Amino acid sequence: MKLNITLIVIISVVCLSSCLLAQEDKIAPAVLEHDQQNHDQLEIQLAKLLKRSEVKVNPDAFTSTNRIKLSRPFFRNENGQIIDGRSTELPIEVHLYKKGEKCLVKIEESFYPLSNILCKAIPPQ
Amino acid sequence: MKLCHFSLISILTLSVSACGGGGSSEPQSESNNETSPLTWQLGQFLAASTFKDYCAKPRTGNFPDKQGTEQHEKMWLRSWNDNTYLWYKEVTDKNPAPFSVKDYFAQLKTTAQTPSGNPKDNFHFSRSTEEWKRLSQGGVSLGYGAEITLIRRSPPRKAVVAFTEPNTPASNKGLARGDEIVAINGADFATSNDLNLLNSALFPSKDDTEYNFTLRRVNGSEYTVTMTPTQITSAPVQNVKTIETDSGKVGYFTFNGHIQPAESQLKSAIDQLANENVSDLVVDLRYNGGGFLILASQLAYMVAGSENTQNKTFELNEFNDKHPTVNPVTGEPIRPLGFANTGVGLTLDRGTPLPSLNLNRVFVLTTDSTCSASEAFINGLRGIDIEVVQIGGKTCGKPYGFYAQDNCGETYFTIQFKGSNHKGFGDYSDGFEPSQSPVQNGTQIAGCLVDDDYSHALGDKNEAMLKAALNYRTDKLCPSLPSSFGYANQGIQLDESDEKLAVKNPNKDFLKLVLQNKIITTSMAN
Repeated sequence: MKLNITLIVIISVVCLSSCLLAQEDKIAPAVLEHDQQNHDQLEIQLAKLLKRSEVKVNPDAFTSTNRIKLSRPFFRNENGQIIDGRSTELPIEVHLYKKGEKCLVKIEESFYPLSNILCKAIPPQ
Repeated sequence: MKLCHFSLISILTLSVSACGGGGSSEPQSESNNETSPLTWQLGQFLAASTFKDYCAKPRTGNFPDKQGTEQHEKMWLRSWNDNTYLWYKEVTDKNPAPFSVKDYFAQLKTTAQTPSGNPKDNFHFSRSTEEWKRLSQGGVSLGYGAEITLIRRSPPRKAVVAFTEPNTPASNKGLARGDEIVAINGADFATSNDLNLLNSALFPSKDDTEYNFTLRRVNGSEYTVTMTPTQITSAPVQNVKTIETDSGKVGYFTFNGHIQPAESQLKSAIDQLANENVSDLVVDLRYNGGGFLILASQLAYMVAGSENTQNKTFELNEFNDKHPTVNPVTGEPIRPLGFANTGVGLTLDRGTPLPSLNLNRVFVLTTDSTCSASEAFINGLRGIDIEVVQIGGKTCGKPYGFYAQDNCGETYFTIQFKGSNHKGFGDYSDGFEPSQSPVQNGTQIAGCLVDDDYSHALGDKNEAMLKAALNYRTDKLCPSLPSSFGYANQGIQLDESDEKLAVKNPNKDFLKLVLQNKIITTSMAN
């Protein structure tokens, strides 16, 4: 009887640990921890990943969802007309994920780790 | 929901310096015994990357700038322009030495003219990168939600509301198309010398000040509203309706910009009109300066349907002959853009099937503000023999595109590609022009010259341009032109006393306010 209880406890612990480990490795959608430094870091790292000199991200980006779209802004001349009115570039969709303690972004089909950025996992969307 | 969705849309600043490559080489000395890369040699061009980001005055902070000279900046412009400018062969290779950087760039363009005698290249310019970024305003305008057209910007100034955006201060306070601004904070709009007040009210940069606007309705009554600038999200597709006529149902909507929200809004509009079995369509493009080309392609598909568009080219972007197969800026292969029959992820999910009206004819309402992607819509449909009937004014004439390029704190624009339709036609730099008897030159289109009519709401079948379209549909006749019509009297000074509110004068003084550019002046600029 005592042996059975010990066995059950051991099995339970092993199962729970495996479960926790699996959980740690699982990629989950994430949102950004609300922090200006986080936001600034995100802009810098996205600019590097996308090979642009600068990326500006709205203050509410990645706060309620793990998805944002980045696009070049349209500009207008003094006559009110869009200057670059023939844009062939589509917005780039960026998803934020958390895997273990790391935050990642997914751009197109590839994942890229972010450094010095805090995020928290959210339920799948 | 849409607003929520668009709050997600962030901004990718347009700098593509990384695509331009380079910046890794060391600054070149002019004192070498061998010929320095900085020495101008007629017809000899080094890679632009040799000079990229070497600046006479490097910026401090998070910039790629390195110490260089003005000669570096000019040599970069020279090489970059020679590599990517559409008409690089028409640029005289002058020694940059006597020029300032800006003046040197200004002359790096063709001096050729269009068939009508206008400069072939009207889109060659630069702005300070800081100003350029400021103008983007994060992609969201600070304003009141009223598109205001400035008919005269110098005293006696005259400005009217062209249209309002839904759920904005302007529409909530009852501003309507045709309302004329009489006063701002009590200052007479027509004559006031308080330009700071007028500019700060019309082009607000802060959302912490309220302004009192006095406006005059088309019927002459005046009213005053207090409005505080706020962030405006545009609804580019409005006034979707079906107009019953003796000869069938005619669909109509205004399409004011090829911007993200339009993808789902255009689909909804066409869904609605398809359900109502319209047999004709009027697309009101009079204030549409373009944007995403893919939206023009999608709309063209939704007009013409799969049978008309299958395996056809909507537009092919052609770069100069140094780049016949690969886009020199993005590095992507140059492929023809077809007629898109699914969503592309702007506001519709990718792959969402688009509806279609399967029409062989479409009416477009145009002005000189109808530009770029809007003109591509017209040209793309004409390329597959869909009849386009044009009502209104000549379009702006912009079959070209470019990618802004930063260097040393200045952002440069030079025409890099031209769009052609399925038939290979793309030479409409003078714009598309409606004519009752069009000549077969590719740019004259069957239709009527009609002024913008501010005295009626957009979509009102008595509004002059829509009315002309509906009449032309049945009898192919056009209304007579008013004596003051700009194009009919091109080059003739308008008699101000004859000007009526409902008459738009499409000359160079005709400016549209876009809530970010300060253009109120004390004297005529042109």
